[in-house]
Amino acid sequence: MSTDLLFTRPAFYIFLLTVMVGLSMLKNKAAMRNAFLFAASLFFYWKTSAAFVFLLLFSTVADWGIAAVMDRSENLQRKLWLTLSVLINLGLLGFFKYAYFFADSSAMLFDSSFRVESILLPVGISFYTFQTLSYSIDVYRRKVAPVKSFFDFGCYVTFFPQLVAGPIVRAKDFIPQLQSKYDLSRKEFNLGVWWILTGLIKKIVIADYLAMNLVDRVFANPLSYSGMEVLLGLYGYSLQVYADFSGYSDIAIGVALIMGFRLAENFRSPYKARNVGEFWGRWHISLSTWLRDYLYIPMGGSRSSSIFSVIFSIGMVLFAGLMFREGEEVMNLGVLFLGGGALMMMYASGVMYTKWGVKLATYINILATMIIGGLWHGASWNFLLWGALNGMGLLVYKIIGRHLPWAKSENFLAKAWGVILTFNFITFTRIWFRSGSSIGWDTAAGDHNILTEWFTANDLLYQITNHLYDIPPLDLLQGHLMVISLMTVGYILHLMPTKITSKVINGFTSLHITVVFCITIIVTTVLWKVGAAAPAPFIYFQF
Amino acid sequence: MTNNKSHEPSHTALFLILLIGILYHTTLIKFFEVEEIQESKEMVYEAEIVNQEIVPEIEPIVFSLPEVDIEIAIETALERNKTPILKTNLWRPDYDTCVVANLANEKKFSGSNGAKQNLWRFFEKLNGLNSDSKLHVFHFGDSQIEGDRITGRIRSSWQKTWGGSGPGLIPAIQPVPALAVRQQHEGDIKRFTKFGKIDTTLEHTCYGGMATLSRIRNNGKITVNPHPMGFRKNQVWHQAEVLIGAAPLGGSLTVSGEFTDSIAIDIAPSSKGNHSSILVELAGKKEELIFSFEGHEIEITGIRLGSENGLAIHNIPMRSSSGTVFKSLNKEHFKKYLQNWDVGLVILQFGGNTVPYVNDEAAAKSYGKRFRTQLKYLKTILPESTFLVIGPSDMGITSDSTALTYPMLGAIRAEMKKVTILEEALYWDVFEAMGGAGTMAVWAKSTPKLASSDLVHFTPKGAKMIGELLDQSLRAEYRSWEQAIAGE
Repeated sequence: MSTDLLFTRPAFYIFLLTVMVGLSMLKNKAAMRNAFLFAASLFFYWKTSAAFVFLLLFSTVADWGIAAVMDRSENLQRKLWLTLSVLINLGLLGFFKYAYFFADSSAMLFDSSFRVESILLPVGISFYTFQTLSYSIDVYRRKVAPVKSFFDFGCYVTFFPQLVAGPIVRAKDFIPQLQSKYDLSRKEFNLGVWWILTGLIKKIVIADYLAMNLVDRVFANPLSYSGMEVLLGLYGYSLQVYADFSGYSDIAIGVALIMGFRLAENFRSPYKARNVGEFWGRWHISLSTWLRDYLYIPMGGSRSSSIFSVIFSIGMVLFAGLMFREGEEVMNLGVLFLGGGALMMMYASGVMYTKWGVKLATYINILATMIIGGLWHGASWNFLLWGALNGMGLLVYKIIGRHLPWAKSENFLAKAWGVILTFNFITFTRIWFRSGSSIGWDTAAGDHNILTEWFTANDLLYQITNHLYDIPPLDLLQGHLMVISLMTVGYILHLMPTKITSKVINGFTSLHITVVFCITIIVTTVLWKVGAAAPAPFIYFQF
Repeated sequence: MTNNKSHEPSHTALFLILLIGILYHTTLIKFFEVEEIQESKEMVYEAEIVNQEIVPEIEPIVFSLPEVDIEIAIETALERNKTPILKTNLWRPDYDTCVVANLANEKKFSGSNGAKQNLWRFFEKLNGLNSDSKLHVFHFGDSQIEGDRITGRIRSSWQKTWGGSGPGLIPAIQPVPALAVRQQHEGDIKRFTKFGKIDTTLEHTCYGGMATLSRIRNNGKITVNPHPMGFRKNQVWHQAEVLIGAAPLGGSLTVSGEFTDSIAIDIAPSSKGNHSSILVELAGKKEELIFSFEGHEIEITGIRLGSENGLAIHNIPMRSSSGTVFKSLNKEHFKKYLQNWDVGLVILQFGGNTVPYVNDEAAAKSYGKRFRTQLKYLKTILPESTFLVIGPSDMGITSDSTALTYPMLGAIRAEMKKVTILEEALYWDVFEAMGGAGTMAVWAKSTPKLASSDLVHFTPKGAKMIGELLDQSLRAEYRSWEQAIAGE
């Protein structure tokens, strides 16, 4: 992948300038403008992923064509077209993203020597396949009409600001914008600049600095650091991953806005969440809502179980049977019988007591959604475990947490308790998230060593539990003063009351454009000076 | 409100044109990056100066510090890193038959004829190893060797050839757990070091060969486990040797393992400056060992885990040290500690910690002098041993968003090389062996990552590669020596 067109590289802004020149000539001719944007987006993707642009084109053509035919079909035929679209999208995703995982896992579980060699992961495939999948499902559900113009649809799928790492945009939100004329106020332009600048600051000043000076080192070699440093690394990572991903989303939203397109917010101060459920409503919102609408609800949601819920729960029992097998056993029969028995009892009790049945179905559906959400991030046991932990967190809150007297209290201490508890839980689960994510698109695919990933997570836990105080707190403070200071500032800014941030944004957007220009010059110059030598990729490029 | 008026795309285009234009002129941003790894001109200058300063009366085995050109340095680094530097497998014949003559210049040892004779003496000792004898190798270094990095790779390889097992010396408290063993401790145990931040409450300097000791009061327990990911040879221990410093009122030690029967031994009372050891024969299996101490106050200056014969290779990292610690250790104690064993080779891998603080040639010379004093001192303590100095690796620094090699790195390396040769020791230039200027930045971006993003430390994979390079260089010397004596 070429790094020239990363949002943090100057060349991207020359590319953007070219696009803006094109837009200013075609702004009132929607069809031509969309075709131009489609071409520009393909060029952008070609520059980042070379020949994979043909895969993107194939996916676009297939979904556009299928949706058009599906719209004219009824009943079984309609279902078959949808199935074809799902198979194509999930097939591509499965091949490029999960082939390693299944090969490695089957090799480990069944002691086979089957291995998959060198499949490169096309950048952004998880994002654009989910986007096209949602389009096909929406057309099937008759929630959106199929897009007539191929260029309009192409522009929707490949829109370069959000192509490689989201936010995942729904057709119903974006297609109407493609069919209307360019319309942007000066205030909105300033807001776009604000998003871009804050995104760049988050990425370059916070995320890259923390990664280079603490997080990457700790995760690369946890055994070389005391437990306290590992904890510091974990809290640093929580801030880094937020600053990195929300920074990217902010820039994407800002760039789209100055081009005249409005994308929905992807983050809403997630670490202000009082429980895990609320956190997922504030973090990577476009994915959370996608999973809710196209996975959780079709599985039965909070109403009932479906065939998917049953398959999932049987799958979990089989998985446990495989994991706990001993010696030459194909499966651990004890676990299989126990799990199978428990499952049958659960479903039987669900049938007998309807209310309990609904609750049970909800729990299974939540867990399944979170595990699949975990696996969306990558083919690794760590992501699976991370998803499961988050699912458990949601269930614990649903079953116990929300019934506690202080759960909904508006008292400051009650709120703070919820925020601290949730933040620490989310940070703790990231032990597995970070150990299973290999940074950079170049290492995301292939060469996944699930054992190394486990060991990294285990080493982190080992250091925390056995070597917590190896370095005195004062030495820790002295040794990581800059990092700790930056983290403190970062978290304070993040936890700033919305009232204050809204005021600041409002103030900025009301400024005269020459003032905005001067601020932009100052900020970009400083960012260039403090930026790291190598263009650090955005973490979510690998997903 | 003016900001509610329409904003045209052409305005945005104009905004971007002005922004890019001003930034281009004020910050000289390179809009299309080709390669940002550069070497500073000062470094080239230093390298050339040093090249002319080489002491003429010494006849080196190899003494080449090639003139460095910035572009060539970058190209070389990139070219070398396109394919792994070491594609050879340790157990392939071409590796084991490699001799100095066909070894790349940058991987060769440098030194005088005297140093060469010393190295040959070490090889003689290696070949003379039998079922009753043991030879020790000490690898002292800075944080670059922490966690048994580099040493572990050499140990695994050499023990396969010349016998021996186990990780060698480990401290009672290991703050930076190594790949060799996993350690835990319980009870009232405190660690003191003579490097890094020094605890002045310790009333003496009898730290021993590891420059670190742990003091147990009343009782303490140390549990060691073979690391599941460690080298196979590290995981089996036939002997445990507990090294004791002062124990004013004596005490007791109980050693127990999963396969080793519990053994209780008395620790004789001794005052500061004492050096004694307690040897325990183990079951020789992969097992967890527990060392339980009881006593008013007992100082542990190390625990050796290994075999009764063959090679014992000790990894002794001293974080933040630049190798000038040895003279500050109590001489008599230090001597007893090291002379107790047959030390065949001492490897000193330092210099990296001084690099960020050396701003001119005079400072580099000053460091060279201080390092020479230490080397000379160590040679008086271990006159029969061979000394190998490994200078700093390539070290990057980020300046104005560009990765540069530290400007004075060349001067420091040259000073270290000069004093090493003058002291009849061998010098191995890891900077050159790894690929020269700019390599660290390239390694930090390679797949898999061989260097960490601080552009100073190797990742475990990078350290393994350095271990393999060193192994290759030493084996080439060994093969050449074998050929030389066969020809006699």
